[in-house]
Order: sequence, then C-alpha cells, then structure tokens
Amino acid sequence: MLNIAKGEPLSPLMIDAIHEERRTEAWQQLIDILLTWLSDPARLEDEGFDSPTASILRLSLDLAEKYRDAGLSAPNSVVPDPNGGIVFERQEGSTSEVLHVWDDGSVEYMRFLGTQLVERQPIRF
Amino acid sequence: MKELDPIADDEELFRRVSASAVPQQYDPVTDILSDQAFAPHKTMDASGISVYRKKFKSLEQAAVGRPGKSYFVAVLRAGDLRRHGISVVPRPNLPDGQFDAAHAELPDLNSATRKHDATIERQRLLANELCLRVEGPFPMPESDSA
Repeated sequence: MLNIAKGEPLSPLMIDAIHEERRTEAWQQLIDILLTWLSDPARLEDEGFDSPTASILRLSLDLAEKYRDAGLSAPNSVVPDPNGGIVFERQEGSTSEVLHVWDDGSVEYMRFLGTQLVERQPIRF
Repeated sequence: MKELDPIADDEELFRRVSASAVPQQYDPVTDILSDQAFAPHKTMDASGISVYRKKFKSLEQAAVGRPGKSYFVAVLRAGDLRRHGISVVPRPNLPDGQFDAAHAELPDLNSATRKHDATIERQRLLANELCLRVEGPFPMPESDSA
C-alpha cells in the first residue's frame, strides 16, 4: 500500500504476497461453501438430485485444504453433482480442470480443451 | 394420439435445472451453466435424461418440480443436438404409468453411461455450446394447494 501511495512499483515479494492472499481467500470461499452444505446437506436434495453425504463433504473439504496448502490455484466453482458427488472446476481460457469427488468416494482429475476430455486420471487421496 | 409424435429438428426442448444449491448450477450473472445440469442420475435416468418439448409444454410447466424449490429451464434445439451426435427421442409413457406428451429423453446420457468419457463430453457440449439460453428461476409454491 505504501508503495502504491508513493507511486512506486510493487516489489516482487509484495506481488507474491498479494497473489498468495488472493489465492488463499479464493480457496476459503470454496471451503466456506462446503461447510455451509455440511451444516445442512438436505438443502441440496431435489427431484432427481441426491444430497451429498457428510463423509463426501468432509472428503471434499480435506481435498480443498490439501490443495490449498500445496499452493495450487483455487477452482472457480464448486457444484454438487446429481448423485451426491462434488465437482470442483477451474477454467482458464478454453482449458478447464475438474476434480470430481464421486458419490462412492473415488476422486478423479479431468482436463478439458473446450468440450473435449483430453486427460482423465484417478487421484489417490 | 401424439404418443409417437416424432421430434422435429426445429423443435425447442426444455431441461429443468435445480436451483437448490448455492452456488446454483446456473449463474445468471456470468451466464455460466454447469455441465452437471445434464449429468444422469445413477438410478432415475436408466433410459436417458429427461427434457420437455416446447410443442406440448410451456417454460413454466417444464419448470414444475418439488414444492418449495426453485428451478431454471435450459433451452435446447433438437437439430443442434442431433448434429452433434446426441439423440433425442419422444418418451411420453412415463415409468409411473402416466402419459406426458411433452416428455422426451436423451438416451445417450443415461445411468449406465454416466461415468463414460463420451457422456461427460456430451454434458459439457450441452451446457457450453448447445444451450440456447437459460430461463428463470421459477419458484414452486410450498404446496400444491398454495
């Protein structure tokens, strides 16, 4: 802030600190969403739409905290799938990366170019 | 009787999208629709995910769901789906024995194929490229008598 006030460019260290703060905040927003769902999973239940179990939500929380702590960029979104799973997605341009926590507790990483699935692998967690 | 009335390429189709989750599967601000709006349920979509034909049902009728909930409606065109290899067929006879002339299904996206690469790619195609627009949300009254 002082550097901005003085009209001086930010140092690389300050830029890194700002990026890190924003990255952590973005992860925290997703974690807060998951915690809200965990407090009342039934709110997600709908016609043809199963709410995630507490264990799936806790697994998703563990995953989010692990990737946050590992320094990964935060996903842009988190949504439930209709079977009680959770889907994290990060999109940059035409590339999307997805972490899908399926209803059986398995986790997969998927990468898309546009709508084409170009990479898919299980995540051991 | 319209039981097997074929679906024309220029027919518009409605897909009901739950607005129960926060954040929702559709974000009206960014106009981003999640591909999970087209993900099959593991038991309830055995023969394909459901859509409704505009020819027989209004947007508001297509949005009718569980009392107290709220829904968006994604609008698609049959010919667009077919040009991308996604079938759409009339299924007016419902599993519960009811008849609904508006009911149709996308048989390629079904319970058995829900984890297949092709199904996952089709979900993204439907959400990101083939959806013409999303209408709503349409809130449902708390009960039928409301």
